[in-house]
Amino acid sequence: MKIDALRIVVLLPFEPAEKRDHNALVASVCELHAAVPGSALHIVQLAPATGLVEARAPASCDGAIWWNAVCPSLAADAPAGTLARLFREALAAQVTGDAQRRLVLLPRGAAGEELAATLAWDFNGESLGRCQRIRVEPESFVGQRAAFGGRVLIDLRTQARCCFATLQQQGSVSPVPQPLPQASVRTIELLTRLEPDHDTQRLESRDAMPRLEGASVVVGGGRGVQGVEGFEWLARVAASLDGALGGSLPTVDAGWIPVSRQIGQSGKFVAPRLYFAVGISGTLQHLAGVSADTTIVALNSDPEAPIFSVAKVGVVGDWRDILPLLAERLEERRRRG
Amino acid sequence: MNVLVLVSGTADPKWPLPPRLDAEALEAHARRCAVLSPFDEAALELALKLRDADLSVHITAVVAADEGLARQAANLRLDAVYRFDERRLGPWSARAFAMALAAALGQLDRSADLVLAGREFGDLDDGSVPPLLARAMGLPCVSLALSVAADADGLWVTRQRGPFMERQRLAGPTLLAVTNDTHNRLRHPLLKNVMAARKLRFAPLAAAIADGEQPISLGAVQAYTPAPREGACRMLTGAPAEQAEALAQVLAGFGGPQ
Repeated sequence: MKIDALRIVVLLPFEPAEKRDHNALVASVCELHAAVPGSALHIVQLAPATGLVEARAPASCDGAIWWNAVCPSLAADAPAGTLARLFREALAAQVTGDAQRRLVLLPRGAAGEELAATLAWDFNGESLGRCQRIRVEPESFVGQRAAFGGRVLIDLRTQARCCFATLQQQGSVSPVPQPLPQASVRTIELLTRLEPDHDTQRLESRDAMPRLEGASVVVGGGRGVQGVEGFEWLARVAASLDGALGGSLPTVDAGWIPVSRQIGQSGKFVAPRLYFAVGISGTLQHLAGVSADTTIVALNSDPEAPIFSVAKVGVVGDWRDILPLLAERLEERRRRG
Repeated sequence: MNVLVLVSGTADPKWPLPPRLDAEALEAHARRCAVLSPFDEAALELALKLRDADLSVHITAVVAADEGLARQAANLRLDAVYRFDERRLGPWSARAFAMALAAALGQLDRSADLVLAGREFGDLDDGSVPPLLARAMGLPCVSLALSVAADADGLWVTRQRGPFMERQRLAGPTLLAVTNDTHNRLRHPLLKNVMAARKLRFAPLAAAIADGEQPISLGAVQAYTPAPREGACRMLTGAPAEQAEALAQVLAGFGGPQ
């Protein structure tokens, strides 16, 4: 199938090179690019200067053009409104050209979804939202995504010439990205000037735990943990595993954990090697936030909890009996080195 | 201050999905099983808190759902409740929904100083509609809003941004996409307000929708089944101390302490 003049664009916010959160997205888009002969792939990476981000993509990603879109006053944690201005300039002036059809993809997450919608409006396109797969047909784009609390997978089809979405492929293991040849790497100096924001004050954070994104071990608590005390034990277990702490939506509602640590359909998507789920029943809404490649170990007092149907290892028991002993043993192992 | 709260509900996950999975059945299910989402509730509570602090605050709610959900909002003794009939739109195009709603909101006789919407308002469990609606209304959008309060300098919103929280002064009318937080859990309505709301009729806001093909259509639908994972679950049995020891061995094998 040859589809003429399709330009696939990936928009990547700035992230320091060591994080590499975007590797999976780039790999997924490279697969899509390879499946659509004649398509062009442009990867736009925002950065405050050249040389801060290495242009990398899977070896199979033939012909991709990597754009370092440079804005000197850009901060690593720029808000979505700022990113939208910069991406708009990069898309409008340098990248999209006169391609007949454009598919613009962003990383999954609240900021990515906001950006996809905002840019779709600005470019008179459609946003398909949070997609797990995208298919390109001769006259339309089809995004597959979860809906109704993760209980159904739906295909959304649009014939818009300009289509935006976030992409988080489920269960894919990303190939190791390789540096792109120098001839494929270009630089755009963005003209947008970012003024200091005097109306915004950062509040001191009491959350010193490692972030969920990129964590290789995540310890998650659910309603069954029943309060802050349980989360203090979970934090100790997470710390002794060098892991990150997360929770389900009800635990955020209850104030046991901040919304930045919410995992699930309405929260973060995590892809650790290990997810230790404590007091989590295993609803589809929650499991939608955990990669299919992740090994789940579950502790729950209910032997019928659905989490055990997806866990590799399970413990039926009361967290009050198990977690203190577990934390003690893990901390002892850590002390012994 | 005029506060506009937008509510759309979400399909209650406690209800089973219809046996036939197509656009018509799913749309009917979404209407029949609609409950306030945690984010709808948070948006309503923030509006009520603003009115608690200043009794001159006027709260208008626009409910993009059936009458039952409009009545739930009205139970909170809001100043005005309208229904936006989104039935012809379907939930598939966030952009079409936002455009139609923005046009309908133009019919209100009060212009909003603050618009509050749950962060998954009006779409398929993601956050597309609030930023699109903000664009369509010509307002700035602040996402992941946790709380909002007024002082002599104006309105301040506290929001989550990445791993940080920040406080931002609003320079003018703004749309806040509100998320869940322990401080914005919706209060229970008073019985007298529930009784009063029983008699209310909700003025309709018509959606200005052009006839013709929708920009996004629903294709294949399938029930989601979690991908099978490796093998059956190995249960660790024994006394708690034995379970904890076995669990520590399993967990430590995943990159933690050896």
